[in-house]
Amino acid sequence: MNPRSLAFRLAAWYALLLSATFAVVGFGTFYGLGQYLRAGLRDSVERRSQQIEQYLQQTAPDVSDATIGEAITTRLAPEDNNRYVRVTRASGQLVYHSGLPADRSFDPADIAPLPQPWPAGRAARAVTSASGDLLITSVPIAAPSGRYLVELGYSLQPLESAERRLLELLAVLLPVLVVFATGGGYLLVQWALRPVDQMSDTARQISIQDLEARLPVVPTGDALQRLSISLNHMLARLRDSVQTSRRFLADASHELRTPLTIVKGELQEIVSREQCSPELAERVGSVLEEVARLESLVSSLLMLSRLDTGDAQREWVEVNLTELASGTAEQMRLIAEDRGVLLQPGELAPVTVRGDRSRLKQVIVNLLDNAIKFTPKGGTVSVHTRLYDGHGILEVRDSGIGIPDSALPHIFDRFYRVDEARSREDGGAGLGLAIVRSICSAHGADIEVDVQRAPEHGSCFRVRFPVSSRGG
Amino acid sequence: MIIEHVWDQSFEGLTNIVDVYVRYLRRKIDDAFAVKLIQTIRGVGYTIRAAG
Repeated sequence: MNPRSLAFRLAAWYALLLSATFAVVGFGTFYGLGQYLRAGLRDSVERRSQQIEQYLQQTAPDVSDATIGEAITTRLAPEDNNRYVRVTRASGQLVYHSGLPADRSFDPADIAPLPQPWPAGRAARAVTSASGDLLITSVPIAAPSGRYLVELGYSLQPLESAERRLLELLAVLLPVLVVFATGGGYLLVQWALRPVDQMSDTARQISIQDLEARLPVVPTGDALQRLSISLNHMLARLRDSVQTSRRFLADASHELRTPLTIVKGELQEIVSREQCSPELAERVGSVLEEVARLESLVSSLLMLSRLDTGDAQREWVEVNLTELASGTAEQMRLIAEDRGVLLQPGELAPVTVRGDRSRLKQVIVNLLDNAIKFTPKGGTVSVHTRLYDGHGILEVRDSGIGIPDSALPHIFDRFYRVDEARSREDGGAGLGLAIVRSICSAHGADIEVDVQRAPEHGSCFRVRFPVSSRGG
Repeated sequence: MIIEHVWDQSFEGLTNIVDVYVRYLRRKIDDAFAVKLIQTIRGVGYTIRAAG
């Protein structure tokens, strides 16, 4: 769980808010219930008390304490009903005092007499005693037989234990609820963010080579939908602009070809004339060589732009890569020999890939040509094909000068040359490997340089093709 | 062009493959003789003719 993630932070805030809400609700419930229960208790205590008050007011002036006590016992049975009753005369003389209640929730002997002067009207008080807490209502009565103070009380024990039970319940239930709600909230946020994950997965697969893919639009009608739609519009504009620039490159290189061909034709015509002086022939020849260089540059650019615009997949067939590799190596053997480099076929296991034969050949030619160019006299260049891990592998290894680490990330870039001086002398424009990579990506293949597999610190270029059929 | 007839477009733009092969031909055809049959016209290509 990542503490900086949106899901985690939302869940944390959610837990905090929920805890605060539950704390307020819990406190309110606890306090409200306490008040409600106390009010009910007071109400019922007062109703009992009124029974005694009515009785006292109806008594004769000479009524005895024993008669009053008997009447109270008959009407209320305080001990059996766990109630506290005390009747006191204005003189402080005790008329009646109830005994120990059946449930022994308090001891009447612990209840101190209410000090004089008594309150003028009905009053309720909570009495804390060593044996238990009581709610006692007291009321002064003026009866024919004199003034009395009637006190009647209920034990607070059931109420307090109910409160305690509520507190225990809240203390256990609320944290559990918070944990569940927070966990659920975390999962919900993750679930809600899943479309965003899908969008980023798709976005990761969109490259400048393939701007056709679009993000999934979740029809939620909210910010997520608007985001994916906006991003898709952006992709469409990006694709249009990339297509425009590719089209421009393709058109430009195409348009350059015709004037170049005309220039070349005219110059060749001059050189071929009988009356052409050797000096003029030499000069025009030099220009023609540069024209040839320009032509090759333009045709490389045209090829790259055609690969970019994606019309590479037209003539795809099953190509026997092994045969193509060994055949091309054979054709180039003399070039290698001319430079004193040994070009030999290596391990050539049968591999068949789907693709454009002449473009695949271009890959092999460019890789071999590079390998031969950058291998000193006496070195070796070898070409290998094999099946590995569900891929058709083409490898061109050389024992050449190798590639410096700093150049490795750039060697497939257009017009990049590791060594300006050396490459120019060989006539390379720095497009060979760029073409190789474009052809590879048009074939769904990836290309890498593996310095480890190369003999004697040379280079090893490895192309991994998806294999078209099992057993090739 | 020789390169398009013998090899294919894959070799276009690179390479001195024709020069190399012509050099091998020269070695086999012309080296032993005073009159060279294979002539180079710079910027244009190669021709077979008896030089004057």
